[in-house]
Formats: sequence, structure tokens, C-alpha cells
Amino acid sequence: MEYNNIKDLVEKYWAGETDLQEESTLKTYFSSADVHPSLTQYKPLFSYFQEAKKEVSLDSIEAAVMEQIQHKAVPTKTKVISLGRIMKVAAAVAVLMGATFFLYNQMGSSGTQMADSERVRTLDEENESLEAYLELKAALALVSNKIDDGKQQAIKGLSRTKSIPILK
Amino acid sequence: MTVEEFTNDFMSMKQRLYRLSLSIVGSTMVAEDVVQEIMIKVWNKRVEAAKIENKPAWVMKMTRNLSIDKLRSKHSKTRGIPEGYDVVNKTHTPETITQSNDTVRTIQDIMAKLPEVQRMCIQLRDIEEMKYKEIADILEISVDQVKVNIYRARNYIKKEFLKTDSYGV
Repeated sequence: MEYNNIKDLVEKYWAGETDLQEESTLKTYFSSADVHPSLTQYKPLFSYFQEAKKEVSLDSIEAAVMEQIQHKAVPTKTKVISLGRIMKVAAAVAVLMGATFFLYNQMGSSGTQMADSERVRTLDEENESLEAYLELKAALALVSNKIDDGKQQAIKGLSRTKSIPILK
Repeated sequence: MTVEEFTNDFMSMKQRLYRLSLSIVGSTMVAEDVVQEIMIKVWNKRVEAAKIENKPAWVMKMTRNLSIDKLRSKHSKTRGIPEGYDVVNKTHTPETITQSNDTVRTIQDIMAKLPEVQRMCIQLRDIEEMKYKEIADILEISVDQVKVNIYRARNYIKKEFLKTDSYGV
């Protein structure tokens, strides 16, 4: 690069007004063999900055750190099961159970399309199953009420926290 | 934070952190220790670390603080002659340096005499080639203060260097 340009850059450098590119230009110039006699006094300084950035071997440090870390490796993010999800599952189970009992009851009374494995039911068994069904229905109604209560609590709780994506 | 993220975001900075620490503690061994300790510290704080916006500034600040602590705990009044460019240092070959080791030591001695913030500004600008804004973030000063410090530091170095240079040879 031209001597005059470099001379200006050097002055700019001492004035603290060079940008990174200009500073890079200066370092390159001073690391070359062709430094103007009036500027050779600055050569060691700019060379020093260039030298100082050279990389050293830090592989042993990296290896030591990685080894220590692997021993304390953290498991992948644990899944948080939200209350909403529990409620959904419970409700689904309740519906499923209710439907099963309902269908079971229906199939018994219609008498058609029975699978081979299905037993022929006596009147007593029908009554028993009806009783059981009614009891279950009552129990599920109770659970459903509790879930509703829980839902209210949860909704209260949720409004205080950030939204849980699962409840979309 | 996964191990991979840790490697990419933090371990990748090890050279820069090493040079930063070395400029403060003056000993290659201590600088290596600092880098290792900082990396472990970052990993132990990985939950917090993952949320930090300016990761380089955060970890360089930590490195600087730890380096200063190590320096103080040595109870040394002067930093002595930094070994960074020692002839016997296996990690750095002086054959590539075009000037004599005396010159290198002179510059390091001059820099060691600078007030700490000025020395940091020169380190981060002239060696690490960081932008003023980046330097300001790490040192927690304004961009204008960075510029002023660089101006003062460069002129002090120039004055001292030319003074010793004329005695040399």
C-alpha cells in the first residue's frame, strides 16, 4: 500500500479514529518486509498485536472440561405432565368405561351379532350388570363433579401462570 | 443446554478467553486454569447461561473477574515479566516473531503499566479486534469511554515504546 496512505492511517490510529478494517490494513502492512524507513520504529508494535492473536493449543483443557461434564451429564428435558392433561385423560377413561358398560348392556338385550366368545346371559346376570352399571354411573358422576371442581381450581391456577401449550 | 450447545456457544470461545486471561495474569499456566474453571462454571450455570442474550460479554466478564481474583490472591505487587512469549514456552514458538524477545517483553511491560481499563480496551480492540460496542458491553462502560481509553492507551504506549526503543539496539 502507498506510503502516504499508510502515513495517514498511522496518524489516524494514534488519534484513535481508525476502524477495524483500517487497523487490519496497518497490521498487514507492518508485517510485510517493505516498511518505509520512517515507519520501521512502529513495526514491532503492530507485529506484536498480530502475534498476540495467534492460537495456542488448548486441546487438553477442552478434553478435561468435556470429561468432567460427561460425568455430570444432564438428562434430556423431563416431560412435565400438566393438570389439564390428567383431567383430559381421566375424563376420557370415564367416558370409555361408561360407553363400555352401556354397550355391554345393549348387546345383551338385543341378542343379535354376538361374538363366539360371548356367553349367553341369564336374567340374573343382566340385573347384576344393570345394577353395576348404575353404581358405576353414580360413581362417575361423583368423579365428574370432582373434576369440575378441580378444573375450576386449575383454571384459577393457570391464570396466574404462563399458558401451558398442552391445553390448546 | 445440551453438551453440543455448550460446545458451540462457550467452548468455541476458549482461545479468546485464554488470551484475555493471559493479558491479566501474565502466566500461561494460570490462564489455562482460568479457562478451564470458567468453562466448568458456565456448565454448572447452564440453565442461567442458556437464557443470556449476550453470551460472549457474560463469559468474558466472568473470565476477567476470575483472572483479577487470581492475580490478587497471588499477593504480587507487580505482575513481573509475563511469560506469554517465553522462549521455553512450548505452546508458542518465537521463531515466527520477527522481533527479538526483548521487544516483545517491552511492549508487555508497557501494557502492564497501563490502568486496567485502558489495558483491557487495547487488548479487546488491537488484539481481539472487537467493535467498540462489544468492548463497551464487556467492560460495562460507554462507547465514548472506550474510545477515550483507546486514545490514551495508544499514546502512552507510543510514547513509552519510542522512549525505550531509542535506548535499544
